Amino acid sequence: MNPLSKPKAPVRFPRGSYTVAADGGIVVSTLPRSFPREQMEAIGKAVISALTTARELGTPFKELAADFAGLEIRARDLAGGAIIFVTPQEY
Amino acid sequence: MALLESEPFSLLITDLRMPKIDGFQVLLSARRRFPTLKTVAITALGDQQYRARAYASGIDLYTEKPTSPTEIRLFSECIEALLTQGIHAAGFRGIQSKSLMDLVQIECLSQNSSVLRITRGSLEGRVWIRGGSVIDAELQELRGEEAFKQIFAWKTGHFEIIPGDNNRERTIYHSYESLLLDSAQMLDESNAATGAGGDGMLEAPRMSRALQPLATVRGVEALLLLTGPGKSESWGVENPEEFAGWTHRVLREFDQIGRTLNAGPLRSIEAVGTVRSVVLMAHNGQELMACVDRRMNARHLRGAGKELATHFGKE
Repeated sequence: MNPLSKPKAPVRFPRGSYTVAADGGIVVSTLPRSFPREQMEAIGKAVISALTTARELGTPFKELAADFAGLEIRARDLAGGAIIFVTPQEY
Repeated sequence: MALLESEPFSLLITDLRMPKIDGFQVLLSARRRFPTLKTVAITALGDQQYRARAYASGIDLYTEKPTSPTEIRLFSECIEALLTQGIHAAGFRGIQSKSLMDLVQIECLSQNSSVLRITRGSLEGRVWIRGGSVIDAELQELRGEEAFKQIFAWKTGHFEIIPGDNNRERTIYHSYESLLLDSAQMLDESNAATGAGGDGMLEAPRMSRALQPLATVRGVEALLLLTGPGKSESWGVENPEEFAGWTHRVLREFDQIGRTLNAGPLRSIEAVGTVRSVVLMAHNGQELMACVDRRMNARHLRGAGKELATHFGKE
């Protein structure tokens, strides 16, 4: 990290949800196009991976929430796939 | 009470709600002063908490006031059966079909603050309960979990519940559920190893100093702290190596997502499950997985996460 560089301004995130299949592919979304699709896919894959590997360890989760200072990502297991809610947070 | 002192009695029947004195006080006092006296609480209150508290105070029978000839007959039969019971039967006096596990559960589920004084022959053990959590135990020179597990291994004894001690220093950080589970498991293993159901010494699992403040957070049942590559400390986690890998991967992937999106620091990850719920967080190169009571709802889970973050030095 360059100490002389200006910190990035907080990003205003949209609110919406989308569903992903078991392979992390996006099925349907209510998020605006401004939200990068590759990031939606990255989130989907991270969620599916976390839920699948936890299940393999004998600890199935029905819900997973990542709490960032500016954003909350909340996912619910949908029999292999997941529905993911993206909610902006003030920070 | 004066009447009880005037001559020996076999049975005391008392109401719970009385004008000048609480029936529980009468029961506790009578049980303390006359250990062989049978005690019956008779009340118009059908409340479950009252029932649990009454049995926890060591009575022999809790019953609602009989209101019909049939109920009066059944009540009389109960009293007769009670009076003909052998006074040296196995079990803890007052709750003959209950174990020490039941006693602790009743006190903790009722969110009581009390001290269980348990005696077996010349030995006396004490278990301190505060607000529904087991906070300390003592048996001769033993303290904390070691004492609890030693007392827990007793098969019979007498018990008494006395008022809680708010100044008692906390030495036990497990939730009462995991403490009972650990104790039962260790007792089973000890019995299997010795081939007996004896009162052998049990070695309590030790918790590292770094985990102790985290274990005080309400609802926390197990902990895994990754202190560096391949290094971890755990308490109550059955397969720490596998969960260490999972914790590290999940935190790293979401941290990367947060950086790419410029979403600000990742504060925590919460996962709600049917077997267990967990809270994950990272700080200063360390990563934490805390297993919490799966009955916690999302709001309580978030609260536990914030409290863990404080103890973890994150906030």
